[in-house]
Amino acid sequence: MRLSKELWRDSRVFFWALFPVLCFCLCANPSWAGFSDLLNGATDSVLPGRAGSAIKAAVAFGKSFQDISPEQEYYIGRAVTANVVSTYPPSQNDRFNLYLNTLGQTLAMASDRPETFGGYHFLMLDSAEINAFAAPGGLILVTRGMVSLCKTEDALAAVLAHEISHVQGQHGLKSIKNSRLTSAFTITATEAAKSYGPVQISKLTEVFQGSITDITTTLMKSGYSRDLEREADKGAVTILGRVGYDPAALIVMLTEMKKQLKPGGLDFAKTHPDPKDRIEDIRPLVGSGLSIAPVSPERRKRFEAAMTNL
Amino acid sequence: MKLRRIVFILGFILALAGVTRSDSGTMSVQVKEGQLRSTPSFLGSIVGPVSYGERVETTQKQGDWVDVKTSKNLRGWIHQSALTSKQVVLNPDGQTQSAASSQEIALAGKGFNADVEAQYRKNNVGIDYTWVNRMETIKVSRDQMMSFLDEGKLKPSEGGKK
Repeated sequence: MRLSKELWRDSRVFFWALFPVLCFCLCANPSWAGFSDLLNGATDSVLPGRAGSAIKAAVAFGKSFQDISPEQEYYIGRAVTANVVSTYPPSQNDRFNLYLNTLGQTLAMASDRPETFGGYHFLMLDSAEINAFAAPGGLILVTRGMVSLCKTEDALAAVLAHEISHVQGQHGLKSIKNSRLTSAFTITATEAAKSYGPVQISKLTEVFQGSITDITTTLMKSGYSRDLEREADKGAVTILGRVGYDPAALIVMLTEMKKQLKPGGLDFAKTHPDPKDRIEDIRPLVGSGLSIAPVSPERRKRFEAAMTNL
Repeated sequence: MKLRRIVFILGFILALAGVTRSDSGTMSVQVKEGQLRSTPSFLGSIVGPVSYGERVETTQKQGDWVDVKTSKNLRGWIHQSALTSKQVVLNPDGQTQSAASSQEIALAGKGFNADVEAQYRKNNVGIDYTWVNRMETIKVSRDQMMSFLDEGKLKPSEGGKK
């Protein structure tokens, strides 16, 4: 009797020794991701024998933007970009676009999400409006008006790093209405095991069209919440610091924008919080912003060369 | 009391051993084109390419980087954002029979895909994809990035941590 009591007590000790580590395994290890999906109710089995439960399971599965695969995000990003460049004509300045991509792709490599399905690509839009857009998956557009505000490479890096952070946080996908995602996951779950027929393609395209409208409306008209902008600014400070740029360049850039943006204007002023509020949010992360480090002569020279005949 | 302590320590060691071992496993490449590098950094030289859906054996992890080996015995580091624990099935028609469930597999082309894009373009003839395709051709190589950093006197922290 005494022995069995001891055994019971020891087995409890053994369990509590294992418990925190098991919790860590289940939550943090990618190889256990399937199990954590199961815990979250993601059960859209595609085995032919279980097809009957597919719709019910798909509804449970299609609960958030996080269930959109990188490949689907890529097609969403392409369509969003196509919409933006159909409104704002792209710049034909190949020399500048190459410089923009060299800077932008280098910054993207230092983000928390350097790898997306199709990679990061940048383009200047031939518009005097002060604006920038990040499409899901890493297609980033910045207007000539915004580029012209930048007085240094560090300032331009700050603008791009902010947009990269929107991609990293999948902020664009967050603006898709949940009801659309549920529809998409329901359609795909029922037809997962074979190629889609014309009816499914038509239904999916309808959901796709709605999703693109949700995102472009957010990017071009309503803007993200102050919380998401704060998150993107915070991410930008991290990226700038990792690459070796002065994070205070973001404050310099926001101060410049504050001077140039017209309250009630149709561009960046309409879709972003007041630069003054953003500066207040990030000042604790970068200090005063007044003691910006001097830019090396080489960096200044190449920036000025790129900005010639913009 | 002593026995309890021994049991506790033994349990903890066994559990930790489990965590370490679970770093080895199989993952899939979830990006169109991936690259393996000699060191866990984007500044590391490129060992070779990996393609979408390719299965890789993981051996160890360092920060956000995973040390992997391909079926062609190519070994190198890749950022975890390029990998998924699911098996990516490139040709769903013939292969789903052997797949267990979608917690374990990701069907390439599921949902919004090239067919949906084609239909969307057909429905919206005013939406022009020319520049989208052109943007995607602008790729900056690792060597170009290295020169850009050197020339700009930029020193990435921790050797380009990410």
